[in-house]
Amino acid sequence: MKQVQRVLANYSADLFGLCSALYELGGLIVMHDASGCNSTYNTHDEPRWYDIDSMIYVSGLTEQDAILGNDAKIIGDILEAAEETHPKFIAVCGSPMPYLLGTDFRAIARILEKKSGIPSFGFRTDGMHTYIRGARDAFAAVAERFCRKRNENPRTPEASGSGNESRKKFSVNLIGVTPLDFSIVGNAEAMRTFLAENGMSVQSCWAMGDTLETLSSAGDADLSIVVSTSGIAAAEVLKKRFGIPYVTGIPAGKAAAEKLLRDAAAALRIPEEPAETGKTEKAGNGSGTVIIGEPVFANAVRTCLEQELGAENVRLICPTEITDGFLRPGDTATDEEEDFEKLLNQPGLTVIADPIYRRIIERKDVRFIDFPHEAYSGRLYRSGIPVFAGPGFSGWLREKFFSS
Amino acid sequence: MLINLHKTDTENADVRMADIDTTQPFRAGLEYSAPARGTWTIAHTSMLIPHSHQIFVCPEGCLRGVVLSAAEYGGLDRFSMVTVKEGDFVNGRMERLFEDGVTDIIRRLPQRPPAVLVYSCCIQHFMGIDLPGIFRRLRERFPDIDILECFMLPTMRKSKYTPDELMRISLYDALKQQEKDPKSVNVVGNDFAFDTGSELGEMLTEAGFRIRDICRCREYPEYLEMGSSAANIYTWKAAEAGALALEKRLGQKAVSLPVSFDYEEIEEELTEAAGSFHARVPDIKALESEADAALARLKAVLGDTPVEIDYTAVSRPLGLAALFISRGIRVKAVYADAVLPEEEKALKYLKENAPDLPLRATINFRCRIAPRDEAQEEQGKLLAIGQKAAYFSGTKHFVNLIQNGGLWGFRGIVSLCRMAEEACSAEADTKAIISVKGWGCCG
Repeated sequence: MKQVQRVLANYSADLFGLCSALYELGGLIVMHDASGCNSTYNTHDEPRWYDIDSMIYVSGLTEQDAILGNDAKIIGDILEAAEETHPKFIAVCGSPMPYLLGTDFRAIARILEKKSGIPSFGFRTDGMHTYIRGARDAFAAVAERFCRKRNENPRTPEASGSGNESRKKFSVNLIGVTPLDFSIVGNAEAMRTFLAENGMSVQSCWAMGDTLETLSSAGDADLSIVVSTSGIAAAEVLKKRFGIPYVTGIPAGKAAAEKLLRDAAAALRIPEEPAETGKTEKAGNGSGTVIIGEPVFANAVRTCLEQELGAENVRLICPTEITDGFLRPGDTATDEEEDFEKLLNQPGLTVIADPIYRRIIERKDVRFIDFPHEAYSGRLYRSGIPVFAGPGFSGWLREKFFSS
Repeated sequence: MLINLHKTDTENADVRMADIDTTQPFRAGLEYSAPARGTWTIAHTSMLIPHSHQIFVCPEGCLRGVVLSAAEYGGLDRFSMVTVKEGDFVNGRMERLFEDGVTDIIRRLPQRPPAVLVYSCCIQHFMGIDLPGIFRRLRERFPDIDILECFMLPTMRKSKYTPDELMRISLYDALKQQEKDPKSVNVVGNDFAFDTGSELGEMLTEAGFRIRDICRCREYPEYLEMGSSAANIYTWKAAEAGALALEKRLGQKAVSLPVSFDYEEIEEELTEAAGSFHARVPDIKALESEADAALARLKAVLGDTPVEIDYTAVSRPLGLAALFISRGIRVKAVYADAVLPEEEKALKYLKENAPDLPLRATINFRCRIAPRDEAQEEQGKLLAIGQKAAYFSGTKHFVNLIQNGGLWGFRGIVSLCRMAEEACSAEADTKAIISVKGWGCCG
């Protein structure tokens, strides 16, 4: 039956994605919720909670305030906190109850901004979408509101030289970086290292390790690299406002890394040396391979499997929202347990997914490669999350894929 | 870098004992959630029913916390869920989704559970769906299973019953009317097994009573046998509603014997319990001496080391503070967001004897920005009783006690002092320990 999870879990919700995206930017973020959303978010979806302070709260919605539509309570409480803490911005978002009540978050944000003078945002999250939507909306709002072009004489990409030599002139925005997709095991740092090694500087990283001030300089970058679907909307905004092109991809393994560099060069109109077509190992296997995960990540892993390891018939199952343009024929966008039950119980199939998906496998001849995803299993399997950003990931995947 | 949060004034997040004139000393505003996770949630407590299965019918955001709680304690085999989506608010399918979803899950479980705890959430109650009808039909459909109606209603947490109270009503709903055993008594409403080695436990055992406790039940029939007990003892306020519901439904006498740190009250409780259960009052003087000696030992170990106490460790943090102060132990702070009415006597004592002792909030938004370096200021020598006190003080010396930990009476004080002594001499990995959700729950 649809909407039933007998044995599986669910993905982090939109409001948690929103908080994750804005976590390091110095804002006051309020989930309009009774109780529970805050502890859920900071226990399971926010690995920075213990060591990095951020002002994320719940409003403490009560039955009485819900019935009476007492929005003045949340507005007053936020203003009280804002007055004392001087946040760089205020963000207020919803959970299921405010959705049912029809709370107008944009109106609340307008009132907050008018009374406090602090940039304020209202987000229509409702706890019924995945984290991708919340993070997407948060990043897009930052791009719309805070990004300014400081360098009024932008560099014009010149088609001279090739490869690293030419790329050195360019800076990039990394968009869509949250612990929900990249954890805190070193992936954000590895992406910076990879870009630096390939002659590109990071103008801004959305949003791990950079401040709101840094993000607001994103308009000075030459290119945006969208590393998860949560970053697409912001990249579109930057493209529209500043003409910054964007590409999507994660340098997960050598082939995906090279593809990303080629795509970046193409977007920047830099001539690239032809790609090496290295030898690939052959890994024909029964029903092929299924990768479950966020589409940008899953496509990067597929590239590595197909182009480096010679895997055939590699399909994606994308349970998170926003899959347009990322799926090929044979791929599936679903979060329904009954679909997983059918799609994963195929003879000789190899499944690469979060360990919780093991629970749906009934066949003994299905091979499972654990690839924990923080947005799904939270902190539970974090120690098993590899540093998948960078060419070195190929070795990790090769070892897993060819081992019994 | 992040803005410096720690420059903010936290004055309104604590109050001197002398200035407390209400049970709600802190204004309700934006709420913070400290990363001290040891307390149990409804997803943990309901696992106490042996071999039961939980089904939550909620939106994704609400499900996230409970499903990962279950995953973390290894309880996913006993956990399922039905996801409510936006369309269900307007398509008139909410009742059908609820009923059919639960039915589908139960029918496809590999083993038939003896009991299924089915959780509704805030939205269904606000929409006013026909939950009584749904549960009636589910019970008709699955007559061999005890279908227990449970609630995840944080929006109503300040209404008639708190979530803790509701859970402790539902938890015993499967107990049925049966012949009473006059020599059987339950301890109800605890997440941790009642200490049968306490003087109350020993008194009841010596009087021939069998003490039943859901925390010690390993098989479902054992749990059901709790219905045969003549009385239910409850040791903290959150269990009262459950005990009273059982009294009304099954005729089991509800007996309040709260965990206390006040010698007079403990003696009164033991005397009352002896009367109720026709048992012999234990040697109070000897028990008091045991507790006195333990407190003196602790004082000797602590010297001038400060102690901070929080409400997640003990249900009466002011009472424990009063006891410690009366023995010369230096209590530096108490953490609680409200003052319980049953703490009135302790508060009076503290007003008179430690008027400057601060009561500190834990969920007030200012708590996020409060300094957490008191232990450092004390050169690392600060003892915390409870996870939140450990977190807020920044100490590595703490008693990892949750919800009284099953301790009771004079012997409970002795045990607590022993744990405190041990905590003084050993450093703990505070972050690793307090990050564990539902400490002690094994699914």
